[in-house]
Amino acid sequence: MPCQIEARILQNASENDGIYRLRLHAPAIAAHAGPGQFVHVLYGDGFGPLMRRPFSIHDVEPAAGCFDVVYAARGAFTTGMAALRAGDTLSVVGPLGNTFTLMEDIAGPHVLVAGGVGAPPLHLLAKTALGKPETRRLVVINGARTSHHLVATGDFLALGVEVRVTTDDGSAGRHGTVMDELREVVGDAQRCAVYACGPEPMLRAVAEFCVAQRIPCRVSLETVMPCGTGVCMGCVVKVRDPNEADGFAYVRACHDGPVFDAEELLWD
Amino acid sequence: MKPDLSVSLGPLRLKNPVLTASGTFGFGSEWAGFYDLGILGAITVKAVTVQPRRGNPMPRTVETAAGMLNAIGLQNPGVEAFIAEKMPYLRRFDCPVIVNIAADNIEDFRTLAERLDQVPGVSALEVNISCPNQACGGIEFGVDPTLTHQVIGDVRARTRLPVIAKLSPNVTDIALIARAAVEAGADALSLVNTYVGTAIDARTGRFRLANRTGGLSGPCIKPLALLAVWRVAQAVKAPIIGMGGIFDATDAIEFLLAGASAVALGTVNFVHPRAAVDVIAGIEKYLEERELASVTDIIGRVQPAV
Ligand SMILES: Cc1cc2nc3c(=O)[nH]c(=O)nc-3n(C[C@H](O)[C@H](O)[C@H](O)COP(=O)(O)OP(=O)(O)OC[C@H]3O[C@@H](n4cnc5c(N)ncnc54)[C@H](O)[C@@H]3O)c2cc1C
Ligand SMILES: Cc1cc2nc3c(=O)[nH]c(=O)nc-3n(C[C@H](O)[C@H](O)[C@H](O)COP(=O)(O)O)c2cc1C
Ligand code: FES
Repeated sequence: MPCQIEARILQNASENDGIYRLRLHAPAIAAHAGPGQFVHVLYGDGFGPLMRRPFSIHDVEPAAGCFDVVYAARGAFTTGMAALRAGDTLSVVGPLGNTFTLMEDIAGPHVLVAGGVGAPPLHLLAKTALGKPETRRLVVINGARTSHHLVATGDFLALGVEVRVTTDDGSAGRHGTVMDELREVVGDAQRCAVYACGPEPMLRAVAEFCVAQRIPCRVSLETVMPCGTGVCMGCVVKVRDPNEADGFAYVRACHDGPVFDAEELLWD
Repeated sequence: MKPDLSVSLGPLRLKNPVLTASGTFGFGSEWAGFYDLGILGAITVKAVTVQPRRGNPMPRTVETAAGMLNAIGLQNPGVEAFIAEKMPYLRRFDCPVIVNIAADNIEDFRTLAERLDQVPGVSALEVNISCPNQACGGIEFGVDPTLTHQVIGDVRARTRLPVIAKLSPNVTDIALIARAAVEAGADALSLVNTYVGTAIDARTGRFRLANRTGGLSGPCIKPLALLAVWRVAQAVKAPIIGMGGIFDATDAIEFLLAGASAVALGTVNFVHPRAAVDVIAGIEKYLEERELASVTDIIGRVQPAV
């Protein structure tokens, strides 16, 4: 059940070009948060910006009562948030949304495809999946435009999982996209499962590839989220629904997602 | 002694004057983590239509300066699913439930009034004659006094429940519409609904909403909404539920001073999920500080600037 907390900032530091790690003290959230879930954060003086923004939970330390968010400073909200310091407070609502759960009866590897700032939910998934009997092999495909845009590579490596890096310009890892790496990993695998989060074009490519190859796949979607709590219907995504006209319905990304089965999604 | 926060909206008695605004609180079930719904004066649920509505394509919302535009398109499960799936939860709380009803034709308004009349736990109907999002819908009733009179009269004739008319601010003279609604038998008036607006992305040269237009809400509309409430309070005796950009107790008190008997919290629920708790406490504190016995002592008591 989500709650609203004035959370103390323990750390808010730059990691890579414009990428920040924010550590918040919020025991009630840290105690319950699962991979794929997010917090809705309020930053700002007065009414600028007015609305909260969603950020995935990257890591949790329930014993210390804290959790981490990793974000890119892009617009007014995130650049403003980047200027906050340890000791300041931020209002957070969470944990929100559903979780990535490890798929069962997977003989081959669990493949986590993390594009840019889509890495956080997959980092928490990798961390929670490690040591579980159903996790025979875990492969992380960590992609970005350039080496400066890579997110959480060090964190994945620190978990001791197999990490395959790709960059569009070849400045780190393989010169190419996560799709090149995904085709290769899947090609020699028995029966794998795919989990993805990242920019929409990447998610779509991953989802359509997996559906065509009959590989079970779950993706975490990003939409505009005014409330984050499931009451406004402003964040919907199209899912297949044979009972509806034109065969689709709108469901809430914040409440019924953000994690969806690739099979049920319809892309515009 | 604690001040008395209770107010009346015609036949409806509320333990305090703080409500939720339709469409900003779903059907209540998402709020269990934030507070007990029983603290609210009343819950107003998302608009319900006769048939389920799928709603508009995305993007449906955009943030604007101190506000937001929405074009949800009345997505809801339809009245039958509402009664079967949403009402059982709402009945658990010690709090009146106001059902916001929407339609794009008079026949559907009549059907909704009749269908909801006997449903246990429904305390009042709020007739959404002002939803700005339906191409051929809501707005046409709410901008015309004759149509307003007809819709409210038809609903009035088909229910024993208190009838609240939810007025659109997108009119030349809101007092005229308010009078028509009261003459047709409305027990109370809700105002304002959202102001029609749009947003364009200069970079891409495109509208920011798939629907092109949307309803503006939030702090940016507060001065406009406050004036609408004051104007209507001058024109009719019926009790008013005031709303539009209320973000804290001070905002709420300003609406009460302008003549609202109760207030509804909308967009603020997205930003501060616990806002209702703070607003109720803030109104109580304001009355205590001024040694006023009842919240009714401030309703409509705004004084000239000098
Ligand atoms: C469930 C969920 C989880 C998220 N998790 C993270 C996370 O872990 N780390 C992170 O950095 N971001 C995350 N985001 C995205 C984050 O919420 C946006 O980056 C943020 O809203 C940008 O706010 P801003 O005001 O700084 O930028 P804005 O001023 O709103 O926009 C700045 C630029 O960013 C673009 N932009 C804005 N929102 C998004 C978006 N949702 N997706 C893609 N581009 C966008 C705009 O088009 C614009 O070009 C998540 C979003 C969702 C829905
Ligand atoms: C996302 C959203 C959905 C809304 N849906 C409805 C609705 O279904 N019926 C209705 O009468 N008003 C609806 N409204 C209008 C609100 O009830 C309220 O009148 C308006 O937002 C002004 O108050 P605010 O500024 O506090 O939000 C909606 C508003 C928003 C922001
Ligand atoms: S963001 Fe409001 S319902 Fe999802």
